[in-house]
Formats: sequence, C-alpha cells, structure tokens
Amino acid sequence: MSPSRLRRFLLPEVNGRFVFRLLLAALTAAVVFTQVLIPLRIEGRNMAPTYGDGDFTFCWRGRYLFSEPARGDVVAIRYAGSRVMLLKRIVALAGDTVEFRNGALFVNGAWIREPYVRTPSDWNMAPRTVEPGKVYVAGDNRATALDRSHSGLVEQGRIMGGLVW
Amino acid sequence: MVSGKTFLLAGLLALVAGGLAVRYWPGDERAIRNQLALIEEVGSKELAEPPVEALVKATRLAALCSDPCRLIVASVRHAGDYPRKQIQDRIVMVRSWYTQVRISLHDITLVLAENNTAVVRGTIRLRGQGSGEAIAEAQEFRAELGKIDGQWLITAIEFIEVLEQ
Repeated sequence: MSPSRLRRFLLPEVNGRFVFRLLLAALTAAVVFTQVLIPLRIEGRNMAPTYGDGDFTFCWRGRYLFSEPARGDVVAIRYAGSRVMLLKRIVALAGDTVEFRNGALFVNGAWIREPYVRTPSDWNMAPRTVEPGKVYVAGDNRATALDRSHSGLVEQGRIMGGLVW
Repeated sequence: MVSGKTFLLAGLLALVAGGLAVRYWPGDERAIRNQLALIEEVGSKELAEPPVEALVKATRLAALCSDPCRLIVASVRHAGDYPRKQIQDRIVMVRSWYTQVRISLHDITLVLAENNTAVVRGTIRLRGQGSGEAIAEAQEFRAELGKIDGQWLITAIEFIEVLEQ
C-alpha cells in the first residue's frame, strides 16, 4: 500500500461517502453481533472444565437451521431474550428416558460415556421421559448437588444456537 | 447555499434528537421504565450496608407493589397474594442473605394496554456474595402493572420456569 493510500485509509476524508460506509459497517456489525453471532462471556463454573468462568465465545444462531439438536451438543438457552443465557449440554432428547445412577448418565437404559465430565458426581435421578418438544440439559460440572445444578427439561424453542468453539 | 455536508450533519442530528426524544419523552412507558430502574437501584446492596438503609430500601421496593400483590413461582407451583408489609419483610430477609448483591434487568419488553395496565417481560439477574460463596442467578419474569392513583404499581409478578427440574 502506497503512503498516500495508507494515509487515506487511516485518516479518511470525512465526506458523505465515508459517513455512508461508516453507518453501513456499524449497521452490519449490529445485525451480525445481535442476531447471528452473539458474543457470550461465561460466568460461573457450571460448564467447567469445558468452559470456565470468564471464558469468551459466540453463540452461532444458524447452528440448528438445517439440523436438529443432538445429544452431547453444548447450547445457549435463552431466558426472556439474548442478553442473559444459560450454557448447557444436551444429554437426552425428546422421547428418551434419562436417568442418573451415582453420577453416571443412562439414556434409554444404556450407560453414556461422558468424557467432558471430570468432577466426581453423586447424582441420582429416577428414570424420566423427556416430553415432546423438549430436551434434557445439564452442566459439565457435576460437583454441585443435583437439586442446585440447574439441570432439567427445557423447551427446544428456547435453544438459541450452538457455540462457535 | 447549504452544502451537502450541512444536510448530512443536520440529518444525523435530527436522527439522534428523535431517538433521544422517543427514549426519554415523559409518558407511561417512561414512568414504568423508571420504576424498573428503581428496582435495580434499591434492590442492589453494597458491602456493609447499614440496617437502616436496608429497611429504607426494602420499603421503597415494596412500595412499587400494589397492596396486595400476586406472586407466582412456577418452579415450586406456588401462587399467592401478599400484603405489602409481608413483601417488605421478605425483601429485608432475602437481602440479608447476601453481603453484597447487584440486581440488573435485561431484555425488557413492555406492552401497554388501554385500561391503565401494562405487562412487562424480562430477565432479572442477581449477582452477589453470600456467606463466603459467589452467587449468580437469573430468572425470567412476567409482571403485570396497573396505574393506581397515578402511579404504576406491580399488581402481579410471575417467575417463569425455564429449566424444569
């Protein structure tokens, strides 16, 4: 880039064209980062060690446009909107029977290996069938008691998307 | 002769002024949003808050509710009407659990009806310090408000269950 072009790039002339491009860039960024790729700053250790307190990622809204959520997916779940969301892992889908025995996950009676769970867990939950239109979600950190863990059934419509990384 | 730049600048200024007018123009919506801001302000608690200040804040918070006010907590299948005094006492008790706490409201949507009523939906977020441990909670809520003696008061509040445990 020649010095004059570099200078024009760094110190552009403020004219109508510049303002239009600036507004277009701002509008595009606003749409992308509020509707398509929502920035997430993670608070708490509910998804540790996969995601730790203070980690940063994006919620990709297009994740389930052409596919259905699957077991093992980490998803962002909305409350009233997209400013505050829950980060959870789907452990069972609609129609599945989910159960915890001494911390081990069983879906439809079969033990499910969960390499992402590294904390000892004593979760016990009687078999429970996931209702249509819902999924069963749990955090990766199972050190907290089940009744305080914020795990359970959630409407599939509340899933905002998957995570970018 | 007026140049294009002047037009552009005038247009931008008009846009900003219009936006500010819509946001800050006094009216029912502004009055309700002020009440919500008051919840954030007086609900929050600083470290080593004097007991008198705690009582004053609880009184101010309870004064935002009608007497009685309906409370619905979906997660525990509870619904009941509570007098203002009882609400105030409960606020004092709940705030005393925390050494410090910050309340914030997000994703607020407000629908005004013609008969001096309104419905507010949003997410309430609570971050604080309990006895030694950090606390972070979020709840989706739906509040019904009514204009009583010229003041917008919460007549009913429902905490919506996002995760069905």
